[in-house]
Amino acid sequence: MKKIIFVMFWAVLCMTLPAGALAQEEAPAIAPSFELKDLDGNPVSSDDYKGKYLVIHIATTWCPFCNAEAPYLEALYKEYKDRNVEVLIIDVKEPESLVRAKLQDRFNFTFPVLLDTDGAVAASFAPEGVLPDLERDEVMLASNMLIDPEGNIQFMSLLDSKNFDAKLVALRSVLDQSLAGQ
Amino acid sequence: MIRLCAFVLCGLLLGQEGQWVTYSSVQVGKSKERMEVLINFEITEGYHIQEAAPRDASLVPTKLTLDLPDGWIILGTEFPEPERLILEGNVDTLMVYSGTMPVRLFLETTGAPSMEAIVTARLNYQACDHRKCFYPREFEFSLEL
Repeated sequence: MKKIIFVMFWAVLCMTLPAGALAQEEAPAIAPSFELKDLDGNPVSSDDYKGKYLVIHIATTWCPFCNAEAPYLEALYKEYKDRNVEVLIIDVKEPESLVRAKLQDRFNFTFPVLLDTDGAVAASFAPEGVLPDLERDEVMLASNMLIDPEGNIQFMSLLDSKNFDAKLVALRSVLDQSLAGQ
Repeated sequence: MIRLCAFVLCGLLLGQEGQWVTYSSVQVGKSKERMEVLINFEITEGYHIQEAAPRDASLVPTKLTLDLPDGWIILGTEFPEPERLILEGNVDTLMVYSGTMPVRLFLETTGAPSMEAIVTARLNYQACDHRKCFYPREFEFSLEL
């Protein structure tokens, strides 16, 4: 079922792509590995989350859709943290002081906020061929991903502001089905 | 009496890479030591940019700045009323500009040797469309005043 949802997601995404992007479109089935620092300077690696479900949200402090989702991410974490689910925010190209003030202190996240200072990690998640005119890290702003315990991307939503899903309904649905199928 | 100098600038700068704002016309009215400048910016169809004074301090305000000659000062900048954009699935709303965005500048040239100059102007903004939000941009252009 998880695979069906994943395939359906990419099928819908491909249908909304410019024609030129379709031929290059490929789903990154395996999540790229990364190591970043959190707001306190501690290194955090994707390896730390092996064996767990990991929700990643790519954010910036000025992104209105990211800020709208922020309380729902915290709620999701509190609701699922005892079920082998972790949450991370990866902030792109912003200094620690700004991220601390505008994200951490504002929303009081109880999960880590990581600093992708050059955008390389965000870019590594960008599906090839999607929005080719943009910087690859820019493509990923406001996106959500669910990575399963084996390191596969089970869900990825790029921002769709016309059908904005601030409450993370689609992500929760996939997460629930994944947890039920364990 | 305001002497109205109007000129339309040809060659829209839509070709600029990664810009979703340009300007279509500028009108300059001069009276004694005061000047009123109306700049009509054009936001690419399907895109919106944040308002000039967002309620959410995290958002990037749209801002217009000018490199003015000595003796020139900006008395005020007037942006249009922003439109309300409802974020689907959320109670929050965004106040944004889209389409044509007329911005009025009120200048004073007291003490300046001339009331004519070509100045560099910059519009700082952060755009989104129906699918993405984009990094903040700076649109730099020349204004003949």
